[in-house]
Amino acid sequence: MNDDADLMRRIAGGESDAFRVLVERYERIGYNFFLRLTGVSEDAEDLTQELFIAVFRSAGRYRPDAPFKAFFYRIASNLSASHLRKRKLRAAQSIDEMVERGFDAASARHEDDPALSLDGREMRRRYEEALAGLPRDWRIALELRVAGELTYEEIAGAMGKSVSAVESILVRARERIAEKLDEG
Amino acid sequence: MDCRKIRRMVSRELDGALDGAGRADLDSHLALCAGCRRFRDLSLAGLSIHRSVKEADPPPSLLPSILAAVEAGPRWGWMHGWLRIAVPAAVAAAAVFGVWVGGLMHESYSPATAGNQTDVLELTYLDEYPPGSLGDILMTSSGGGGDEQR
Repeated sequence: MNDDADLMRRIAGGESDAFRVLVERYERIGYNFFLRLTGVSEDAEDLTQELFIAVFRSAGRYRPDAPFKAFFYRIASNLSASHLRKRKLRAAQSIDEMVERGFDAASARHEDDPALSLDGREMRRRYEEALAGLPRDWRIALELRVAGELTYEEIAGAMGKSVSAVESILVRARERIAEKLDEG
Repeated sequence: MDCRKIRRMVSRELDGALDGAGRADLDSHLALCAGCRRFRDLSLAGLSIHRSVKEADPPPSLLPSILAAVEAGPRWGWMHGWLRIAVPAAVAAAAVFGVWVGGLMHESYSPATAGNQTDVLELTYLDEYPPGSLGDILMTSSGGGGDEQR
């Protein structure tokens, strides 16, 4: 049994110390996953809190033979999809605003990077814009692959899709991004 | 090989999932197709940008707020280990017992038997005044209504 699975077993047994260790281990990963997807630090904070509450409550249902990472990202993906769906429904938050918010959280961290050339900054701006404009499932799949480093099988499990569907999503997402990067 | 298949292979290549045979096909196609070469270059650039995003530090208040939220959550938190099985099982058993008792009560008060029981009770009641008791005296002095029935 790996370390994470052992922590989950102890959490299911009611050991609060084990839960604290798990949060300390995955808090940063969860927070950055949500931050990249939402672009808003407050949303990322709320979603990370929801994520760990869900992990805590479902600890008894966790199967140790499955990798904890896949279990963790499955909950995170569901929360992200739900959040992005709600946000899309809110009239006040248009796609344009999402893009702007995306810049706040992600691109702003690079604006002061003196190592980046003007072209580099422009490419990054286009990339962020293209990413923010992708359908939510595509963004989640890409994030799970690139940042989460999940395999196609793990992404399929996390998103409730077939491996073939995941691969198609990743190809289409990359084609869309390449088109945006090529513009101008 | 058509460009759609090649783009799928490029995507696999970026994910480290392209096998040797696929690489040979990919390289030979890329040598001839400028569009797919451009797609590959831009996809590599995008991946590089995505990976270079610096991770942000979570706010220091996040950990305590998560722990507090779990503590303050629905009080199912205490129900762990064997209690997770025992408590729902006890509730289910109580419900089954309640249904069983309810069924018995319903049966004993069904309209068909309820009428008979009233008769039986009345007869028993009139029959069972012990001799010399107040009931017996009253029944006797009132004209022996009970006697008529007897």
